[in-house]
Amino acid sequence: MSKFISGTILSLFLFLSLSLNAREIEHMRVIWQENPSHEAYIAWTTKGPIPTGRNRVYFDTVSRGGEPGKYTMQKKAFLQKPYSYSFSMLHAVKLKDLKPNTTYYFVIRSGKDKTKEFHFKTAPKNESFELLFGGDSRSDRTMRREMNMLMKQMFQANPNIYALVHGGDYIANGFSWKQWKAWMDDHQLTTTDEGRVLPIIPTRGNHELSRALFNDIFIYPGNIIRPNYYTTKIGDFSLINLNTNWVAGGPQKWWLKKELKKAAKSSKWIVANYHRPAYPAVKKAGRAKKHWVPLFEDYQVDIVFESDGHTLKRTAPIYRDKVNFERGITYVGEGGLGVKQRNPKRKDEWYFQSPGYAVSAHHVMKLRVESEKMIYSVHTANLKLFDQMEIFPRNRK
Amino acid sequence: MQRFTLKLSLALCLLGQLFLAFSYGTTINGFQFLLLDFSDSFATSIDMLLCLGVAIATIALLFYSNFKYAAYFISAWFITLGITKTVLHGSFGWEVATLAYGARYMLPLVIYFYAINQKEKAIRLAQFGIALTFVGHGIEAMMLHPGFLDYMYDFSEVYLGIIPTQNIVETTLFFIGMLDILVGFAVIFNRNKYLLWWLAFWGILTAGSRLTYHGMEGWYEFILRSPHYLLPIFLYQTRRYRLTSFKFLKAKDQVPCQSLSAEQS
Repeated sequence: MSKFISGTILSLFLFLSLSLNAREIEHMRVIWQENPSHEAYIAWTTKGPIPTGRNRVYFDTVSRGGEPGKYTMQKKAFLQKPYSYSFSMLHAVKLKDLKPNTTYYFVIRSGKDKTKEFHFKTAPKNESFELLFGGDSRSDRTMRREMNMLMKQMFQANPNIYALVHGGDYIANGFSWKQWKAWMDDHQLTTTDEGRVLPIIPTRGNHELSRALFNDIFIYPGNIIRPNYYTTKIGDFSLINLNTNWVAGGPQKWWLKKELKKAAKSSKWIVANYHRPAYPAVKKAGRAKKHWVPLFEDYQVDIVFESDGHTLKRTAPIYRDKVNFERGITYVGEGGLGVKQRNPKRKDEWYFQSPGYAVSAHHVMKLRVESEKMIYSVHTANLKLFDQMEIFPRNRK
Repeated sequence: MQRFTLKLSLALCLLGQLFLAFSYGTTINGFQFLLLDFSDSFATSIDMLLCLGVAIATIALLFYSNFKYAAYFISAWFITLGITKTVLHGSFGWEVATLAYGARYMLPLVIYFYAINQKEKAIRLAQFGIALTFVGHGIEAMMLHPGFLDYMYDFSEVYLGIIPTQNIVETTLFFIGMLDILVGFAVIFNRNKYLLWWLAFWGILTAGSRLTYHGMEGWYEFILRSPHYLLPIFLYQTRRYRLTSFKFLKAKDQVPCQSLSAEQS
């Protein structure tokens, strides 16, 4: 009996010692949710299941060369817990009261380990900006890494890109920590050589079946009351991120109506983003078609981003299930950030008539938001510009 | 009459399922394309070939109910649909997809065994099929399947004119799930007429919710679920047939203890 007890204590001691020493910081990411002009989450992973020592982010508006003591601001991790289904540790810091359109330099310190200096830029209030859009980075890691490097090239060449809006289906099995870990490792490839981090605005896809891990990784977007649906507001621009993995009607629809009403008054631009398409190129239409599309039309949303189909598509402008160039809404996307691309089986549907199309191509989309217009563009895997369209402010009266 | 019920169910179920498969492909396609790394066109060809095979097998089984290989082929196809759905992790309730398809993959076997006069085996398989489907859907309901919640919100708003609170809808669905699991287990051991009426009623109501939600566009969703309500009706029709024991699986040719008058005639 005594041997058993001493054995258990020894094992526990060894386990704890290993945990305490294994402090390597990885999976550093910046997450934007509702108010990216003033707030951002910085999250990271350490090995071992127990949080020890100081877990903080040191930050400043000027570069301090990565020496924690030189930064004028610091913030303690408010969230420290093991990731669901894993023994690795999640740490997250919420930076608040940030200045818009400002570069923040930061280092992360966990125990004795610290990172080099990284930086990100908060969203602007009035100036023009660009966002990358794309979805479905699952199932083909090699291609995902290629697409991430392509995004890095775009990001490096164009400082006016601020963040990536990921349309969901990051990985194939939402319960697999191993797959999430690989995705977060690969996301590091989007960081520029100068250390500028590409923040993520997350959307939940159908493969993120485990709400727990998705929430751990992206720090509870929409919080507990609104499971993974929320609005990202950047000046005059409202990006409404919806969750097609949850009830489309009921509370989400009621919230969407309220949100659109508010955005129609306060924003020049309204953009919707979600995973399962209402006007698909491959599969059946999702529940968004019944519950959200009529609201998008009533409140004249400017453009809608969809994922899931593993193709590249752009619909003709649609209003009340007909092509309408005056009041119609264009649905773009379908997911090409790595996943193997399909033949768009429904490319002959009425909604793909010119200027619409549905093709098979890995792609990343970009939306440039200016005061007078928005410019939507698509780049394929060879960085070639595939499509471009201008969007002008709508008359919402 | 029993045979008609079974064949009607098979015809409706396969018509709906094959319409869906030919229109949008199946999870067998996704499995080949994403996990086996087959090309899209090759995966689609295999998928469509299988669908064609199932269509031919269905017609064969409708005319020659004792065509064993047709029954086994259709059943295996449905089981594969369930398993590939589970493996692909792409939809809510993927963990229980193979359970939820129970009535569908048992149906061809029920037809076959009933045709070769192994009625006890046919009835037991029908009982298991319904049980699996109700337990599978019960688990999905208790997990608060978003699709089911949408049906409930929609039905309540459009047909009852009531806007329910989230709590009410979720609690109701949770209890519906519990009840589904209870009746699912009950039907394995009991063919009480009230239980079978309930199963048939609930089967048609839940299948019908696809019509109330999607309108007539949901016709195939409604008919492909016909085993959920027609298999309980089949069990009701064969209720007077006394079952011996669970050893039926070993039996080659069961002699019915008491045949139904309709079958005798």
